[in-house]
Amino acid sequence: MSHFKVRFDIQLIIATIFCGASQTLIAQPMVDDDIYFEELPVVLTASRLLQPLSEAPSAMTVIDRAMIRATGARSIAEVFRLVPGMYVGYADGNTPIVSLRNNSDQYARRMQVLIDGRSIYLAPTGGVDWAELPFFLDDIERIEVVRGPSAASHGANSLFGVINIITRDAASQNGGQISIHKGQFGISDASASMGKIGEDFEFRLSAGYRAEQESGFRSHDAYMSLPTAQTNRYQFNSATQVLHDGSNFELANLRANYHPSAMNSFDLQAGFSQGYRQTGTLGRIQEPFRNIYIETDFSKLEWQHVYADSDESKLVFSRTYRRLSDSAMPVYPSGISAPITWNTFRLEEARIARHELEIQNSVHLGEQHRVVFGGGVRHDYADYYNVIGLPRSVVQYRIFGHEEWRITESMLLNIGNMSETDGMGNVSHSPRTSLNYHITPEHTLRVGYSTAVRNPVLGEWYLGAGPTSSSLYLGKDHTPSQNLEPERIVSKEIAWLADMRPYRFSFEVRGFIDQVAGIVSDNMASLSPYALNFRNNLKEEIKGVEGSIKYFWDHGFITAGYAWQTIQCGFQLEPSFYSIGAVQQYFLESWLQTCPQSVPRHSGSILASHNITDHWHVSSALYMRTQVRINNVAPINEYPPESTMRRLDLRIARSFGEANQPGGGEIALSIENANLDSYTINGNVPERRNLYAPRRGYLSVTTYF
Amino acid sequence: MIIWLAALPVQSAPLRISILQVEASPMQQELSLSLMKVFSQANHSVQLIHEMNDTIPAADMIVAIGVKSSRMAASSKSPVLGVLLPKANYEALLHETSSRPEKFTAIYFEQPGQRQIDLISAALPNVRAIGVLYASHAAEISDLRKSATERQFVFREQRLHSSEDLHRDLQSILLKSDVLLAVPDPLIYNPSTLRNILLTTYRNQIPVIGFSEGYVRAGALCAIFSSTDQLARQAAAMIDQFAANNRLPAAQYPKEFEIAINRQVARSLDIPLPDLEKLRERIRSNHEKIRD
Repeated sequence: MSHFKVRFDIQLIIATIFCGASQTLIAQPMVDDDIYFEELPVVLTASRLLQPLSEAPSAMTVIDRAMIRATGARSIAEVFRLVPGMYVGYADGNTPIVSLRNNSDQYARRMQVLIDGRSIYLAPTGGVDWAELPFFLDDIERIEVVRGPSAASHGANSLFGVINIITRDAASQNGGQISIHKGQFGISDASASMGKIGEDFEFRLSAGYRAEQESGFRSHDAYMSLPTAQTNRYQFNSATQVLHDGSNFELANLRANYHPSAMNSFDLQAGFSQGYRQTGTLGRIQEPFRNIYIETDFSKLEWQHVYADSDESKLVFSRTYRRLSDSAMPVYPSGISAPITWNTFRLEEARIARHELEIQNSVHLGEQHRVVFGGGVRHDYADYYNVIGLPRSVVQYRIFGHEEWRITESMLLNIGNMSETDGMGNVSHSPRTSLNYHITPEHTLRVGYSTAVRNPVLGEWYLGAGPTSSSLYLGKDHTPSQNLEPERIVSKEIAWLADMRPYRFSFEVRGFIDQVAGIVSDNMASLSPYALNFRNNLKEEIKGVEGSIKYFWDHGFITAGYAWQTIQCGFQLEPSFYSIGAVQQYFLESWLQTCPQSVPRHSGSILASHNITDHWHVSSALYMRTQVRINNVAPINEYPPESTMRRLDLRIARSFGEANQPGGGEIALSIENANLDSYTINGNVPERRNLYAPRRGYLSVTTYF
Repeated sequence: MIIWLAALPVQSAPLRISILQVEASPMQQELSLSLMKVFSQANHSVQLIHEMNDTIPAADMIVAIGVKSSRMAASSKSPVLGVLLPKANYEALLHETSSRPEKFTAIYFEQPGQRQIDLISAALPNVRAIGVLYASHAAEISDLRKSATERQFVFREQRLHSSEDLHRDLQSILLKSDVLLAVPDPLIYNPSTLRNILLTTYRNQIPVIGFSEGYVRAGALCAIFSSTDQLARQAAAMIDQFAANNRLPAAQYPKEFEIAINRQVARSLDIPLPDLEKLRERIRSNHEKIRD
């Protein structure tokens, strides 16, 4: 008996020593739960799983956080230079113009632009006001750009393609972060974000401001075009600040997710921004220096329900509101040739609102078929006297459906359609289909045929009813644009994608023909204050070959994109049908001269990123583009196209501690246009001829807590 | 007495077996049924009980399913075979209840480290760094570490400091790894953390190797596990050994295994997984190669 006791004691002693020596090991309680055997819900459902690029029905470019960081960009618009075929330009420092293919004017309205599935282009002009978006670049998780029409998957207005900005979800951050930027031309941004992840609730909040004093654009040969100054015109020089284009916005956004059970989750998003955009051009009385005050806010609620067999349904409600106040908006009550007087200006207080409700279902019919279908309704309201006269609203309905049919393990057929009303009496259908064939697991061939429409915006229907036009339509309810129909695109493409993972290398090559019919334009081929009405006058065909390559190594990557494009332009309607004499001649020449220059023959980018050591990171971006012209930059003998661009951006960063861990941080220096390339931006008046971009640098400091 | 027993034929006599199943999850119920079937076929008399108390007749052998059942059975007088019992829990129970391996044996819940590493090299040949997050199963980690380094993998381990740090520690290990190998550590991998773990690993495009079929269905890329039939067969063999020698075989890992794959997740992460048969073959042949 006694020797058992001793043995027990020794065992106890050994156990205590063992415990003491490595107390953290056994100190953790041994939990008794038999938890591994419970029924587990499906977390990675079909809608959460990203489709690999080799199975996507259209050409897609994905820009992830590592790429955004490597560009050193401060504004979302700049990041789009990485997409083959994308044009990124500026009407002035705070008015970026972003679109695939080409543009009629500064209101790029031929792409669907979404943030987390919510359309952000707003009536009445259809453009996106990038400067006022209530997001910082750090709030973005990923940007997906579909480089072709995609109505069946992405909804209305995706004529040339889709930009889908996906923000970081509510569970992406646990902790806080502060970030400050300071740089040339008055660059001054500050942002703070914090997130909390709980068992069935999480949120992420981000707030701060973004400001700059001016873009720094200068010109050697712009001049003031005052009527009396013809003989001794006042020439600008490289010291003259021509554009009044600073901006200052405070913004905040929130994303929260509540998931009481595995089956249901509720996602709330909200954000607002307020501040001003400066506007005005030196020497132009009709464009006085002033601030345009803007307030915008949005909210979105999404309910996702996952069924037992992992099918799912989603119900989404969103609203967006924008208020704009311009103390001196120019109007031309007596026509374009009347003298400018004090009553050329008026205070404009515009209000724009959108409400949208959508339902989407994803269903598996066996292992081989997945069907997504649904519908939605959107209500757009605009009270914008100067552009459309009376307050207007339009309601649009749509239903959509598409199917993925996995014919064999290596052949996937996508087929879909969207049908929609434009609220003005037109019904359109946008079918599309594509076949993806995996020749081997690494190499995929895709052929696609896709169509989409663009419903004319409120401005195109009603501009003639605003005070800029003759009094014929002023204050009237009906539209001066008669028989306007949606623009229509047919896109055919063939692509080869290769994913050679063991060699850390992937690439895609694609050839396409995009034919656009019924392009909406006015008598002067632009959306300008002089317009009277709009018709589906024009058509164009853009052919191109584009591609991208990505190679990565242990501590870095290099990615490059390139597009070769060519365009043919024509008339949908006989020119004599709607305009006469000198105006017709002007119009014919104008379109036939500017349109062929509206896509750059060559454009591309190279982005390289490397971690030299654990703490030092360098990256650089090279953006290249041959000449390009926006269609309203005319006549061509007076206004050259935007010059060839070969711009180099650099970034160098030193990090401290571990990223996203308390005490971690980073200091970085970013230089845009480090090589002082003097590429020019869009300018269609003498005062804005040949404005070229400066070199701009800024320092950023980030800490995590 | 002992001589008399030895003189008996080696043929195992029918035993009275109690299957103790405290929790009522579908998997445990399925295992109970498989065990009952297999034991009845061997002519043992079986009863299924859900708790231990004095009114229940003593048995020659108790098969305890799961951790709760094993704890309850460990203090009884009859020999116990624990099934679906993680190794770390088994060892802790041995220690806590002062029971002895001669009286308390088990078929561990998890697969041997070697086999888990075999799965990774068969399914993900391009992976180099394996990440493991653990809180309490330190001993198991050294087993995995050894198998991983033998196969030229880089082994990254991260111990969880507290449950609030789960997200941070997970993010930290995901940055250093090409794949996350889940170990049945309830402080980390439990139904309430399941969603966050799978969403975070997916956001980082890192596949998860699960430890059960359920995990694969939820979103893990693949898992190696033993089906209830396989476990029942192994339990029956162990009991046969016991009946023949009157000695409990030592606690052991599951011998037979199954593989589960989530094809949608594989496609989405662009991971070209071979089909199940090829995968099974690769694992088996790797196993033969390394076995000492």
